[in-house]
Amino acid sequence: MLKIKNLHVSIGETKILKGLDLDINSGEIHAIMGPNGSGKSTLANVIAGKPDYIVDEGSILFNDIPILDLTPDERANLGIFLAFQYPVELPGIPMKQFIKTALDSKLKSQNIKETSIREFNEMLKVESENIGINTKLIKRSVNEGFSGGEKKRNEMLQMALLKPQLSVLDETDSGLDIDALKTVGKSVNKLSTKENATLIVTHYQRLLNYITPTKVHVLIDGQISKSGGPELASDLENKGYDWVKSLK
Amino acid sequence: MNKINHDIENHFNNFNRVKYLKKTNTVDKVNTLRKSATDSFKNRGFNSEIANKEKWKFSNIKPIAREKFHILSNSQEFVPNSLDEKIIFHKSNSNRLIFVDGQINDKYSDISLLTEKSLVTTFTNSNLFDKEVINKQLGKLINHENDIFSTINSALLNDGLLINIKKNITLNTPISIIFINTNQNENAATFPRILVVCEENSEASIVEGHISYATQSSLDIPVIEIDMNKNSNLNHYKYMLGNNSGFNISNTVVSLEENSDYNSFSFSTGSKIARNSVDINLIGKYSNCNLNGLYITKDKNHIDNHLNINHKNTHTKSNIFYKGILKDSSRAVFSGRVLVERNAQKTEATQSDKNLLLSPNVRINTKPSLEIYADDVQCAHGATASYFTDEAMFYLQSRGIDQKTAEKLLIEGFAQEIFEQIPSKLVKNFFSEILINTSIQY
Repeated sequence: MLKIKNLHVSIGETKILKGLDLDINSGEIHAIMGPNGSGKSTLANVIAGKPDYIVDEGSILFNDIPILDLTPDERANLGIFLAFQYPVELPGIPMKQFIKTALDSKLKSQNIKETSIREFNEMLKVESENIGINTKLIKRSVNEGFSGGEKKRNEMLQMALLKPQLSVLDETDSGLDIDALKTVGKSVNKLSTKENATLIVTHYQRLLNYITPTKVHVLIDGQISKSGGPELASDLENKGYDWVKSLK
Repeated sequence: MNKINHDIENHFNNFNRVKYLKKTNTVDKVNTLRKSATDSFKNRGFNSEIANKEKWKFSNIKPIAREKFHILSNSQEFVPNSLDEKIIFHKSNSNRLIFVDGQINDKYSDISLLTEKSLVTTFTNSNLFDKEVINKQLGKLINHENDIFSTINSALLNDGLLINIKKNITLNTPISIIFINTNQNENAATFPRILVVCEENSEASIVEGHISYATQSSLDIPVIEIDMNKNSNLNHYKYMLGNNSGFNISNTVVSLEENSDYNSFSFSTGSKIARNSVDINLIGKYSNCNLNGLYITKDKNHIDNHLNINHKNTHTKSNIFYKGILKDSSRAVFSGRVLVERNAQKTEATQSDKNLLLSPNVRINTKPSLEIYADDVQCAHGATASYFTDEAMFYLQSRGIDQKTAEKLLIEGFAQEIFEQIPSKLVKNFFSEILINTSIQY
């Protein structure tokens, strides 16, 4: 589904990713772990198409379509979703309008008729309950005045409603309490099917207590230094990133 | 370059002085006001106004001084376009008077406002009791020596409207006065004048609209005087929809007695030069004003919001909250001045002007200022101007929303904060509709 080849990325003069390769197939959950500054968030953002990053070399194919020249919305409508590390507050834009516009954009790109307001409200109600988002938040502006945990739950709500083929979770576990962490784990597990895939970007192993990844990769200094099964995550937890660096 | 005229008849030619200005108005005050204003214009002309660099620092009024304008005496048949229809027939405007090119339009106005409902009266047709009110109040809040445009309005005053909200009366439906300028041929000039008197314990809302379709240079100089007595409450909603040919120099002057409340909301799209001057005098203790405004400019339009608040008594409160959205090569000026007099202790004053810039070619000059002569006061002011944040745009796009739609959401979201200040749901809905129909067109 996702094929990244020899990806080199920089911001300004600084090189961040230095030849990264990654293959993710349908039905898989991958975790990218790494110390601060290793390029984890850059990878997540480059997949989603954030401007500011310069791709110097390499390619990203999503279902065999080269996506590096596509805008973020075009990528989203192909089925890529980024759960933000720091979800953005959008004062004055009501939650419902935001989510419905997103959903309708996706349907429009597939030439499907948009959902009726009634259908939408029903879907929103069901998913909000699943994820444990207070209905009062749904009446507010997007993320405005939400707590850290509420913002992350809101990301999960959007993910559940947009049903992406590839979900990229950028440090979704940072700053979360145990309950919120469980919700995130539950959401990811619930959404995982044979048809879609998840890429979890994280510093810590703790989210992986709730989600069992197919593969774990360690990102150090812009390259994947080591890949393995779920056991690699607990090794890292015990031995630290210096252990991987020493293997290099 | 034309010479600047000092003779008002020469400057505003083509009007038949015999027909309307020489004819004595049935209200004495109109006649004396015309005379004193005409004399004042003769003495000062535009020169003293142009010389006031501080007052007109960012808005060039020389073209108004140089061009000649014609006073319209009769209007063509009025055929409302789709925007007019949306405005005229909106529920919030059911109590409405429509003026087309300076003349009242019987077909689209609710004339019963003037007759059986008697909420509004023209000066000319006022009864004896109303005449007494007009004689006492008209021009009371205006100082002709300070402003040439209200002087012109007074000098060329043909007829005006009196809105007198009687003691202990609460009006639930707003009174809408809509001025539409359709003239395409001449340099048309209109001088709307409204006198509002809110008696003790009264409550009302007024929607004041100015729409210009003139493709030739046109000039609108409205003056609205609002006198608020003890415990009265007024919501004043105003919109100015201009284009790049017109000049719209509007003056609103408000005087507030004890415990009265003036809430205003102004929406403007700018014009060649649009000036929204508001002067508030908080005379009685515990009087309170809220000035909210939204300006959305495009092309080469220009809007100048010039707000002056004088705190003259203790426990008075003022709040200015304006927001601007600037597109293309448009320009906006915001000048908010709050003066707290020596004896106005326990004053609370805040002002804020926030701007969203949609193009690198726009220009905003924003200048909030405070002059405080009392020591026990709470005052704050601030101004910002910024582009969309890349973060917000990326967040929306990452959800599959294309750039144009994302911009639209961000603009509406930015505007929303001002709309939330409108207490009436009906009026809020009206302004949201004009917003969608005028400025944000993609």
